[in-house]
Amino acid sequence: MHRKFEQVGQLTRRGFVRAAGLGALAMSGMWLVGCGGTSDSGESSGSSTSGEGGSGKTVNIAMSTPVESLDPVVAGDGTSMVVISNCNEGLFVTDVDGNPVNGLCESYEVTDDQLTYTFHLRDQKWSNGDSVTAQDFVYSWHRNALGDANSALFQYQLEMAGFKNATAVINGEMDVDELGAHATDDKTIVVELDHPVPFLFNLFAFTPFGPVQQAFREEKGDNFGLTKDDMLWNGPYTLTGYDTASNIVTLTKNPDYWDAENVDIDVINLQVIADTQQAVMSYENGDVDYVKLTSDLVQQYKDDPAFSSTGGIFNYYLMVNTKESGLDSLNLRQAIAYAINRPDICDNVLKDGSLPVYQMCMNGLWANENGDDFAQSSPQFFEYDPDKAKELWAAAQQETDRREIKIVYDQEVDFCKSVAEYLQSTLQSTLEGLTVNIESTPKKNRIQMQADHDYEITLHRWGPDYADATAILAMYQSDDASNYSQWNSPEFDELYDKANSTDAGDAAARWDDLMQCNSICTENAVCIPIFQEGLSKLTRPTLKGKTDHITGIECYYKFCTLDA
Amino acid sequence: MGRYIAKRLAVAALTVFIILFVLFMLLNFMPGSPFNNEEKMTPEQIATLKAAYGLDKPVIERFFIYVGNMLRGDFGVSYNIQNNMPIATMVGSRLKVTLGLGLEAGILGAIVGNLLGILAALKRHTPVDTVATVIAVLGVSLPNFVFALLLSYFFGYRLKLFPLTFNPADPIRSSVLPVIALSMFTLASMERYTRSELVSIMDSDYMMLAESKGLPRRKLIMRHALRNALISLITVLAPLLVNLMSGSIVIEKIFSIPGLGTLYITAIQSNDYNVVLATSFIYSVMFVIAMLLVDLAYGLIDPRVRLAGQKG
Repeated sequence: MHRKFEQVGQLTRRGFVRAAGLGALAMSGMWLVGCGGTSDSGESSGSSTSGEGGSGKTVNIAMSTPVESLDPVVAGDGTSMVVISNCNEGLFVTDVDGNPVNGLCESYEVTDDQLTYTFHLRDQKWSNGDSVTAQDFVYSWHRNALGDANSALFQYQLEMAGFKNATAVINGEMDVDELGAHATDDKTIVVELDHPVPFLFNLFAFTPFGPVQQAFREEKGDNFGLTKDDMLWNGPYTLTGYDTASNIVTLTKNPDYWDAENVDIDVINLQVIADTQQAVMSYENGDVDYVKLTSDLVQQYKDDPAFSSTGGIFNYYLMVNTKESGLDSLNLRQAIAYAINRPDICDNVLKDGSLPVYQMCMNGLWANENGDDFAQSSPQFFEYDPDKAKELWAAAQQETDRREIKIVYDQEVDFCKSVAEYLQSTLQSTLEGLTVNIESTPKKNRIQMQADHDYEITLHRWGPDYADATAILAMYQSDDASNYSQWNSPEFDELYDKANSTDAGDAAARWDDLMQCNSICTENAVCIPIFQEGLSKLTRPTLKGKTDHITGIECYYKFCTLDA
Repeated sequence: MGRYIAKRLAVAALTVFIILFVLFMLLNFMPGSPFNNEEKMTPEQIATLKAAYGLDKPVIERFFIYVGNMLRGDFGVSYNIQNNMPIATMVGSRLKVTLGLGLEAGILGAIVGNLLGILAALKRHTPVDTVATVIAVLGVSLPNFVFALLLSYFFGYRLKLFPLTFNPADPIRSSVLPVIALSMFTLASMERYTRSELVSIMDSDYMMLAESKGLPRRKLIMRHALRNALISLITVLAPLLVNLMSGSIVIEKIFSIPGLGTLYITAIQSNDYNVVLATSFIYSVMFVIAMLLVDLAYGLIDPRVRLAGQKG
């Protein structure tokens, strides 16, 4: 009995070990073959160097996040928007200087009251050979208004663009056909606005305003926008490599694009590299031609000829809940604002090219026809003045018993902790008797706390979606859903409305209105501006025209060139 | 035996169910919505989106709907990481990458670790033993990202032998550095275990008996010592393999590997509920199965365990 058992045991044991070993090897081999099979995601990657490659001029760009979606009304992240906008051209695109220039719009007329635009489309084919029509644009805007694909991400953009009846259609009070956009024939779109919108063409260069072919969208159903085969393209590039389990997205020049002769670069590889140190080593190795730097690397590369630094998308502020007892004191809020040494934060804490800001808007957001930058032309407030801060704090102490504040910051962003600690230290030493508590929380929670008005002060960030001061100032209107500070000012509301109604057609008057709005909310210290996040990067010197627009699409690669 | 396996499977299924339930409830308490750009949406828009995805229903009802769908193979769609992408597609493709790398690292670690362990045991108290011990101590005590950075710097950046980032089009070359980095802990653990097993076997009575019978040394080691030492290693290797296959988040980040580990963290931070649930489910199932296999393997390898189990 025992012997029999032993034999069975031995055989099974041997078989087990053999089977386990063979199984593991087979699975491992299958994986290698399997991965090889998905290689369409990165055709020319790995060849890496810039210049004339096997498939022509190839550029490799390091991106920090992967593609979220290919659907123009769903994609909300920078990488997806770059992919979509370079492959799916709208009526306008933005050039290297950030100015809108004609895309699929060949020409247009506008009425004197600036309320009706007629756009004429140029001839351009979709990647399935069909012509891009006016109906494709109107259908796309309709699906945005209706929240197609369960996306409400960009509905507000139709309202910002001033489309007639946009709000009523979005709220379901009016049929979508009532939206102020109609195709009068295959090549003509008429857009009717509620009020003049000076930045309309900038908005038209944004992803959600691109065309979508109705028949194709309906044929694809729930799969629309999920993979490269579930989209049609009409732009200077076609998406040729994209796989859900790949970190490389490949755009290849579209020979059928109307302006193909002026598109210099043949292949763009957008390579997701999550770790900046690895991305920089890849740059040094020649594997990528463009990489954004984190502050620890800025010091190392700031003298490199490939290094450049500009203001980034986000401004950081201290958002104050003005309905909390004590924080309704203007003296207290201003005391905090004057006690912050912004250049010190930028130069010694952040060290990444961040810029001090003394009003609500970011540098490079918006310029008038003379080229004046709105942020730089605005009155500046709260330059570091510890004596004034102390005076205001003394006055505040007469008004309120509050001697303690709590600042909440995002735990996901490394530098937020350093900034919060700096603020804690500097405010406590300048405003004697004030205790500053700091607390980290997930960003989602911080946003929820602000929405619920369940906070005292947050380290808040905000980025614009289009090139206009209203992209920043809208949230300070009394009835705005994002008015987290709960501050309201009839004076501000009146000027803001004027800028978007009676003065909307008068560029100079509108500029002045918004500048006053900017000053009013800054001076009230309801959301205290601190710094504009720096954007430092290394760009291969042979790559020209690579932009980092802070609004709309980061870069249209049709304007980039690569020297041999 | 069959009854024992059935009982274990039932317990495993219950364990996974409980894990899912607890996780579902915890996710429900997470602040914020799962949607991107929520700070620029009105409360009405967020409410509409929640209704569209069925997130407006009571949490218990949602849980049973989720489990029902899951049993039919529908894990829902991603809310923000890859919008509207079915989870099965999204997680499936990443699972393949993570499993592949984990398996390779496991095999590499097991083979090299064993060889080192055998060498160290056979050449006890010689410089070979010392070198193997140093490697084992380093492998166990240094986190794998240190190896990842060192390998990247020397073999990727300085010598340019391997790519610095993972490229699915070139899986063999670009797997080399992450696999080595990932295998270090397994390698070191296996080396230590093999060495101590082998040393204790070599000192055992039956080995002395075999030796006194005049068996040649080669036969003695190959047939009697090694076989007994290696077979018991399976029980150590199984949990190590599962650890590897659940993905090293740090290694995935450093080499930009589109695997499950980084996806898991992103999903937790961005409230992408379905991704968190599906990934946790996969991890739980993997661990439960591994534990089951280890228990069964014990029975197969060591008859005493099975006999005791049968009597009990």
